[in-house]
Amino acid sequence: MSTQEKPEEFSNRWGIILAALGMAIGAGNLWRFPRIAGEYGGTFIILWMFFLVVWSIPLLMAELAIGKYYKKGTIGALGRLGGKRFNWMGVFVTLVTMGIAFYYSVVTGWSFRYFLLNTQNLIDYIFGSGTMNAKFADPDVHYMDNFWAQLSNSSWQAVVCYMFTIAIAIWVLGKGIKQGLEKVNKILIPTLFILLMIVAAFAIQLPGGIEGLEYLFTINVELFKDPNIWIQAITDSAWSTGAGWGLMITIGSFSRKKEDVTLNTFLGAFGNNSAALLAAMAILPAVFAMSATSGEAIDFLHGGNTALVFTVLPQLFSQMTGGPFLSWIFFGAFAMAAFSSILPMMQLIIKNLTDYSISKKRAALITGAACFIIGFPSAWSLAIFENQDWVWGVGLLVSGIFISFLIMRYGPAKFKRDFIDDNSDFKVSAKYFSAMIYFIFFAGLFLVYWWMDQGYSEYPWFDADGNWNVFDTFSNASIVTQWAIALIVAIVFNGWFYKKFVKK
Amino acid sequence: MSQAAIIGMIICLTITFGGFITFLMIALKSDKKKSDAGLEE
Repeated sequence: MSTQEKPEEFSNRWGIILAALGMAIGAGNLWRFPRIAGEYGGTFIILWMFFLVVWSIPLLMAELAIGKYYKKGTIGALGRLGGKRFNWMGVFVTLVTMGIAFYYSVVTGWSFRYFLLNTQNLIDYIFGSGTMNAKFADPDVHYMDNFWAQLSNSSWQAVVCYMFTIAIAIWVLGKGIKQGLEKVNKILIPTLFILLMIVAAFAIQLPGGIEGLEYLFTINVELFKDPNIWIQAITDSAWSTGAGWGLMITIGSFSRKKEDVTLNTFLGAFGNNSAALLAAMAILPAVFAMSATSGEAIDFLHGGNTALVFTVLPQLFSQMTGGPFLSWIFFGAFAMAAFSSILPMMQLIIKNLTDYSISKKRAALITGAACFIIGFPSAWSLAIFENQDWVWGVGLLVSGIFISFLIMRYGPAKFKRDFIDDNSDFKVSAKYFSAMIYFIFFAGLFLVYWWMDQGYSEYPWFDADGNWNVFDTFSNASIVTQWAIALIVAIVFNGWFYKKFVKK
Repeated sequence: MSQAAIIGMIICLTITFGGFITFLMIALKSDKKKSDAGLEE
């Protein structure tokens, strides 16, 4: 039983930082940030960096400190902080991130499938006839459109790919923190940075590539007046860094007592943004260089996350000399980014299970089985995948609100003194930390309202017949229903969770 | 590349990569200091 197992810890600060980078650098850095940054340019990047310091860093710092202090998973640590009365908040945070882990294993599976496809293409390009690449490149064949349509809807290939992802993740995490997560991150993260640098270096020197950088970096002062860009910047920072997910609590729970919470958080957070910017410097020049006109390039960026990465980019890469090689590197980086993010998500579930006195290996198997069973509908149907991404993506903002509430209740200045400053060489002011915690709480409430008010669904609450529109992919009714189920579970079983995960 | 884009690039890269490198240097220095003092395992 795990109660007899020696508590696991990262070897040093670099183990924590690499885990934090692996957690934060995910598919979003490669498919969401470059799109938004390309649309709003340097104005967005400045605001996005501003919100890194205002929203993400205080929350990540608090999470890392909570995990390090209590040495427990999300339910146990947040339950200890909030007490029995607010224990359900920690359970909700856990359920939201579990919701993400279940469908994110599907994204990782897709990324592996595309890496395999690009490997086949590269082999055929170098040693074979190159017909595969010619099919990718021909716009009349629609090879990539068809491939993606088949993979994302009722595809056994997608199921096999995400099963493979889960199996590899269980194998890694079953080895433990030092031998599993830390060792794998030591390879994945530096390689990911190198691969992104290679793609960026190639893309920038392509004819027309500089135009992509022009779009990325031009600061339009007038855009600062647009509230939409502020909201996009704060939301992207929250989603991209993983602030409020509880993942940093999990990473912190394996941290040694003497680790510096503040410095490690700043380094991880700035590292995540550097990777995202590097990805944008690779993707935007590539899209602009390979599109016929600037207008076409902008249309591609407006096409959505999955369309950009899974249909547009492979087709564009195939049209250039040496493109299969570049495409192979890009999808290698994409698979690494996705895999390095699914690991801490699954570790979050494993840590909570080991807190419940289940052995590490058994916890890894249970987590894998849960990801496989509950993630299956997302692998089978793109509409369900998009629904889950939307419901739990907005749910993360609620998680951030709950964590900031628990800190407000404890007293932000006291929290900083008791939890964060211990063993920190690098310190931030108590006024800054307190102000940001209050800001996160109120800004979070506004953001949840704003995103739900966007009206992505034609019938946000009730359908044309007046029925509760729960099965619509982007409806508010779907969001509220699924959050309500999570909250009911958390509140009804609050006492049980407290007894089994917190008091134990 | 226009002058506005070059200025924007310098600002954005300085904040993002500059920040990352600065904190990286602080961490490396801190580790070295602890190592010299015999605190690091």
